[in-house]
Amino acid sequence: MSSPSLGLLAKTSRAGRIEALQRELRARFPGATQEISGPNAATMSTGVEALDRMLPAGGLPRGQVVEWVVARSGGSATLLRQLVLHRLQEDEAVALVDAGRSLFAADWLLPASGSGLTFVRPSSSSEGPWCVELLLRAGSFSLVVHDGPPLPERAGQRLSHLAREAGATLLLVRPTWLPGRGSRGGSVVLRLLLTPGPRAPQGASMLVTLTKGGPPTRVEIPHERHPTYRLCAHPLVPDRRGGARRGRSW
Amino acid sequence: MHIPSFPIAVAARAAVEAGEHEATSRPLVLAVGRGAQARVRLANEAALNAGVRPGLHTVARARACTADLDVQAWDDALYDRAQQDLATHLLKHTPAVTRAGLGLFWFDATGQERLGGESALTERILQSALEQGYPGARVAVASSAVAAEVACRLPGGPVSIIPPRSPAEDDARDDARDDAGPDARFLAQLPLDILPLDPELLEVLGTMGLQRVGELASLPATSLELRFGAVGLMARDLALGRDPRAPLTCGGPQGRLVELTLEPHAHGLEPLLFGTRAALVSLLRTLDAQGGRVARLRLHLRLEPPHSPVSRDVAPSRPSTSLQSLLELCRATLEGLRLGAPVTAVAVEVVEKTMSTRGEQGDLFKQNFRDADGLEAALSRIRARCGPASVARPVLNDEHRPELQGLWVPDGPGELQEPPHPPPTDIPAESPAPSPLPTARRVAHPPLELPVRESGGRPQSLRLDRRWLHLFAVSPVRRLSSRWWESPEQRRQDRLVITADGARLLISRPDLPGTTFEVRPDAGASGAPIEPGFEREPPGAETAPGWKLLAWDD
Repeated sequence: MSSPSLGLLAKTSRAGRIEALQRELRARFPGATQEISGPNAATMSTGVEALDRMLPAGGLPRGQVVEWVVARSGGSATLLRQLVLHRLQEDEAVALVDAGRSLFAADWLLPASGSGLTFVRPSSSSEGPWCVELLLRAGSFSLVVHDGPPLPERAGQRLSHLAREAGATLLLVRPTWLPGRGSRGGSVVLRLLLTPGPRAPQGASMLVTLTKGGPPTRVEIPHERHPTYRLCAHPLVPDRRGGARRGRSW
Repeated sequence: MHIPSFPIAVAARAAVEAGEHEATSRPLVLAVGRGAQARVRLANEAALNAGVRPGLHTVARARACTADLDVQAWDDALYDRAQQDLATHLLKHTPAVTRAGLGLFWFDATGQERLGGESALTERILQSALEQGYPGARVAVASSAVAAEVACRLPGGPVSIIPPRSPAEDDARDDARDDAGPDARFLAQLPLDILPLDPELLEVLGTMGLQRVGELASLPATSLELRFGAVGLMARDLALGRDPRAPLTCGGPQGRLVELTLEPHAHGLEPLLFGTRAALVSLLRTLDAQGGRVARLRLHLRLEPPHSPVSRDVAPSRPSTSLQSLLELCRATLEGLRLGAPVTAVAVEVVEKTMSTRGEQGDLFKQNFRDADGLEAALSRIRARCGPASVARPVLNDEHRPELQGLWVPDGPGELQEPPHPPPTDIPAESPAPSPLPTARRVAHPPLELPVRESGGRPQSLRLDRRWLHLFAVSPVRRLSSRWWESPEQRRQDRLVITADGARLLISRPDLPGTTFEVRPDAGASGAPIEPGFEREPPGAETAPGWKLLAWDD
């Protein structure tokens, strides 16, 4: 009888090796293994129903590179926060490389974070691709986000290969206000353009436009300010500043 | 134990083993160098009596002193092997034997009461040395290594014993902590150069008129520290018979024991914990690099002489690298100790360690399987290259300035972790996403300088991302100041503006004295609603200085 490991070695990617091992186990122990569901699907939901409906496969593809090109106040932090929160609620691990060092810490105290959310804030934005590479190689995350300047062309191709091998979605959030020329996006399979929605004095919205990976479509996603919470520093001192109210700007 | 002229003794022993007993009485020199440059390094008693001067004479000059001179080459490897063989042989008498130099050995002489005490031990050691072919060995027993070494080297009988402090002296010494007891009294009358001190320090002390060890011991520690630093303090400790060298600290596996000397000596718990924490941090860093975890620790407390060291074991419930949990266990152990003397040094030793494995089991059939060890290795590399703050976690901050209400703090294995703040009460943790989504923000680090055009004190347009943008809406001014205890106090004006292309920005500028600003009834702490502004820039707009972009909705 041939060793099952010989068959496994033929597959190079982690996902491929796991798939081969699963087949081997099913063949040897029929009925003893569970059918896979949920997270092993080919796509991951963003947590925003309207956006999932717009995307060609009903979500972000796993093992691929997705790019968000975002204008200022285009809603990228809002949408990213919702995506990360949804992945954590699905018990998946997320790594977020804040290479631009612009994310606001108070927004990222997510209720479901636990140990599944890892923030990396390199001192220089040029270290961002290297950090992403290490996190992908760790094989622990189903979603790795790089938020910062565009990646160099060669780094983009290497990270695309690593994402495929790890079975993780690599999300590149590329703000248009940051300088630098990046890759032409040959490794990107899905690109979304995020811009501010129609202006309104109260409330806001973002316009998400699919520019690569499917027929051009657009969806408007509303978002609104929530009250700003302040932390009472000492547990024995009552906070007499009153509760925050909706509509407060900051 | 000290064997004078150990290389000569080795050569004599070799001659006896070869059956040349008469050779031991012949003049013998050990030489370094070759040919005409060969010089005498060491000579036996017969050669010295013949007029040979080691260090001064060449071999040719030494041959002129005595015709039947035996010349052998100096052989470090031979002496090293001989010393190692002797140390191995002597190990049967005591649990710890340490080679402390050429012909010098340290023994752990504690716990010999059942075998006849220290005098019986010295007899057994001398007998063994004689059997091994070293008849000139001398043995001394003292409470400190420096006193024992000096006593060995002094001329006299083969055995010297400096008795430990008596219990009565021990009780009375609390009022005079610098009196180290019999060792210090033994050393006091000896010349200063008998201590193993740096020659330059000896020269300076000589120019200060210090001749005896006791004179150095009587100097105040503070003046010595001010003049010579740590070297001066160490010299004074040696003069008082306080020597950190001991068989205990030698021979431990590399990287598993960290010892810290406490100066001044610890009389309470807090200095001990301080030293223990520093030792733990160093130890955990080494263990982390090796991928290990602590299964059992041993705390060693070295007490002022003549008290014996105290050791206690500390074992976490499961292997750990958590500084906080290990420190708490050490604190609990130290709190339960009753020590008879101040602590001079604290050492932390890893007695048992395990590899860095985790209790959680991976699931092959789940996409979200996490390789925790691989992740920790990756994060360690990121911390090493980008700094410890590069792996971070968010925390809330009690601060009225909006952009500082959240902070990023390092999230690492050595950091003391605070419990996470509970989520705000009106956001259910497991509820589906609210609709519409809550707006998140971005901050500018550092704040970005903004050219802003104003008309009548109201911003009309600003230049951002290399283009001028009309302001669609502008909030009334919200005035903020820095905290009252900060000097100089900084006042500023904040405005929330919406550009014509939809960007929602928080901008700010210093609140200069005499500046007029609009006040709306609802522009207080509760925030202000956005109101429509001008679509077009009025012709009288002027560029206003000092505006900066702090943050924006995103």
